[in-house]
Amino acid sequence: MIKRIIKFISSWTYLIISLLLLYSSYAYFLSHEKPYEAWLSFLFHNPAGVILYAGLIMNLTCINIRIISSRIRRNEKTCADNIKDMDSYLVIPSPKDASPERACDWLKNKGFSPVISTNSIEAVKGRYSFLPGAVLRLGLTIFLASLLLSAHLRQAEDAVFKEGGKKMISGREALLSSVKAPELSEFLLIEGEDSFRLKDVYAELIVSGNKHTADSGFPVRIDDNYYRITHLGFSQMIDLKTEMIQFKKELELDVLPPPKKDAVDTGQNIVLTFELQPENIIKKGLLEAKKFNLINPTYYLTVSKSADENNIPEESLELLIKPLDKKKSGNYEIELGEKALFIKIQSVRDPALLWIYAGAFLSVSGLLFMLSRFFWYEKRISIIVRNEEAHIGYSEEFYKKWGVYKFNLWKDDIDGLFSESSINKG
Amino acid sequence: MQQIFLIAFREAAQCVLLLSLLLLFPPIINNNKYYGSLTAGAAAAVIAGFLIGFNLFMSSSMPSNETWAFWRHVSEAAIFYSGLALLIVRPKVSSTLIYSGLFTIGFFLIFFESREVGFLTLDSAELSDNSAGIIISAIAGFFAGAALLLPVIRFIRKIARNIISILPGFLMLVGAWKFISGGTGELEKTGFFMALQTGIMNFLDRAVGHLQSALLITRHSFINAPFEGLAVFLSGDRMAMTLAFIFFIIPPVFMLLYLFARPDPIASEINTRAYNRLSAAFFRKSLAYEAAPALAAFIMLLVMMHMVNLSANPLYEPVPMPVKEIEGRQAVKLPLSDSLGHFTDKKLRKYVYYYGHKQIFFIAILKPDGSVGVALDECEICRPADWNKDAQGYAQRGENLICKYCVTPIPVASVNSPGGCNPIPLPFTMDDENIIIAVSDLIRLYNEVRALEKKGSHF
Repeated sequence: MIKRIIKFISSWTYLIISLLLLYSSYAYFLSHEKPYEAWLSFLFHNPAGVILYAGLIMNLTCINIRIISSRIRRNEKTCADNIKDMDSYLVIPSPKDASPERACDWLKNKGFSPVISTNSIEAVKGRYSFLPGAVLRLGLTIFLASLLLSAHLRQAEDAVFKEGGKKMISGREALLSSVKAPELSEFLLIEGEDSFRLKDVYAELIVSGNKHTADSGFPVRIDDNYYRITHLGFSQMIDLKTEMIQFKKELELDVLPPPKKDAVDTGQNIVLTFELQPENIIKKGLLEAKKFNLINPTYYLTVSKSADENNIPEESLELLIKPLDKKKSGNYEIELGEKALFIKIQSVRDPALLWIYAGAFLSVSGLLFMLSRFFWYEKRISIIVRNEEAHIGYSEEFYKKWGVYKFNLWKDDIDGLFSESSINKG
Repeated sequence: MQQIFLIAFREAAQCVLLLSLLLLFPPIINNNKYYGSLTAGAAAAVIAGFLIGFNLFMSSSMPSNETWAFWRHVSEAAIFYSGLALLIVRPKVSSTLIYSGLFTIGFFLIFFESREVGFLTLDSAELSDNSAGIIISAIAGFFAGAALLLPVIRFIRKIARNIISILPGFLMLVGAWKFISGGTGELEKTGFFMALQTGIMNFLDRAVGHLQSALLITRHSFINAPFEGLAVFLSGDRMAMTLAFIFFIIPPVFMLLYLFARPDPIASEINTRAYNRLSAAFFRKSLAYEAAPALAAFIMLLVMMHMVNLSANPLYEPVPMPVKEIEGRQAVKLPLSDSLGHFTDKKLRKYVYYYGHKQIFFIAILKPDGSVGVALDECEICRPADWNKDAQGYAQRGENLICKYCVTPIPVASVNSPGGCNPIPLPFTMDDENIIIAVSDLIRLYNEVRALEKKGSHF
């Protein structure tokens, strides 16, 4: 009973059933607002989903073990009864004193590696051709298992840092000593195009007294946590004075890419809306392009009173202002400090992260390696001599019809190794 | 009433076609019990589907048409892939299971279309004063279409004797036909391929995002992440289309490979050459019959996917706007901003100028460098016949103009440059708000092109 269960769990049928069940579970969640997220939640957090998911991982593992063990076992033992089950099968009379060396030389000429045992020769080409599939299955197993672990063990935290700022993140104090975004100098916005891209953003972090460089690419490991830059914007000190109120604060302005607006509620019935203003406008034919200076930007600032009881906002003031500028208009006095950059850093604690990377790498490698299976596959010749007869069988893993033709073409050579022939096809 | 009659007749005729494809498999047509199970399933589907669609039970919790369409697609995919499953697994089943299987196939072949006809009947009846007439028309249309089955069966019984085939091939053919013709066009605008492609694209988009999040290389709106190009490619519509294509093509290709990869029969033991030849001929004939349904399914699916791809990427061809001379000037004026929008939308604009009884078509478009391209709506090389209006002129697809005659894509940037497949350039001037073309230039170029046509040579 247990053997049957193990055989079923390590079968391709179980894999197909698992995949169909996975699809069915996804189809069930299609009516949800976010079907993929709901499905993931089912797979990783619902007992039925976890069983289904774990079953798939177990199935991949068992298939791998089954295939590797069957290929290795076959390599060690030549089974006389198996010769009749091979794709092509030939029986020819063999003299009593027939020597296996001639057959071995012929097999070596054909690229096989013959292994001689008592009364039998086993020759295999493509002995290790199971490796690409094994690597792929192993990679998928590791990847899927680590995704499940990560879903339960990952702890993530985000923190916003200004240049020179200190903050606690993941229980450690971190100081952002500098931020570099090499391409953040100027930007040309061409009508109708969305082309603002920054290749890299770097940050020097001092954590637990040690200097580290985090960037927007792969996460950097600092102690047990992984750090990565996930956002960038302008940090701007503003000093706003009216007769009634004073507002002085360092604001994090999410105004990238232009012409994005960011509204800041001062909490005193005044809303400040910032937008980057182009330095100049370039015309080429009918097309218009706006050039933005991102080192010393100009802000289009709107100061408006919050909506009143009737929900009618009152526009108070619109002006253009640069960092370190001071402007006065009506009741308002506005001064901007120096512009700096702020970044958002994500800190993740995930013991399974390295395994996710390993699994992804093995899976991709295995997938590419699988391309070799079009021409790298097992070809096996088995020869057993008994009762003055040589039983010769030939099998190919794929393209069996061509293997049969090939063996028929070798008939004359094989007849020459032994004396007479009669052909039976397996 | 006529409309519902025609819809019911059409769907019934399609059902007859589907049943006939399966009845071509000799064991079904020649065995009354198998044949009876299949047709009983179909009859049950007609009744049940119509009643459910007509909402006879007045249930307010009926699934929406979209939900029914989803399950129809699932059943079509199941029928299509069941052919492949039977080919690989080759189960040994009891007669009872065969009868049930045939009943189920017959049922799901027809059920969803019958439900849609019932729904459309209900819809028409509610909008009409003569509900009873509508229902009778629908039923009459259905019976009229189903009546085609009788002569079809008679024909099939005659020819089925000579057919040597396998059931998986017919199931695959029926499934392929269902993909193309399943459902009523009145209720569903998108077919299975587009629905599948959209579903795959949505899934891939979320899955790739999840994968990036798991690897801590999440996408950002303006900061490049590692392997972002690969992520965009994997979650794009091209990948979704490729996977949808693979979904349809793998079963028939696999079946054809399986059939043709079988070794030829060994004939060397047969001493008589005639029997030798007979054995080989029988093998080839059976191979042809067995492969024919899978090959037909393959070709049908290829054509379907090509048509869907074309309809998903249609050519943009605006209706030509008539233009007249400006008062007091021998010139026509094309405003840069009009009811269709502004030139900066980069869409092709077509115009027509009436020169006596003749029409001069010309085009204008904004080029990538911001300048304007103006040309006649014809090229120097392609000269389609006068009656072939559909092949005359240009249409737009993305960043290219497409010559409708030779279907050559021409980059918009090359408009105003003469030669090759480029549209014939037209001299023009511009002011702040208009493109101005001298009528004399328009007529001169038009006449030159006509003169060249008569000569039979090009510029």
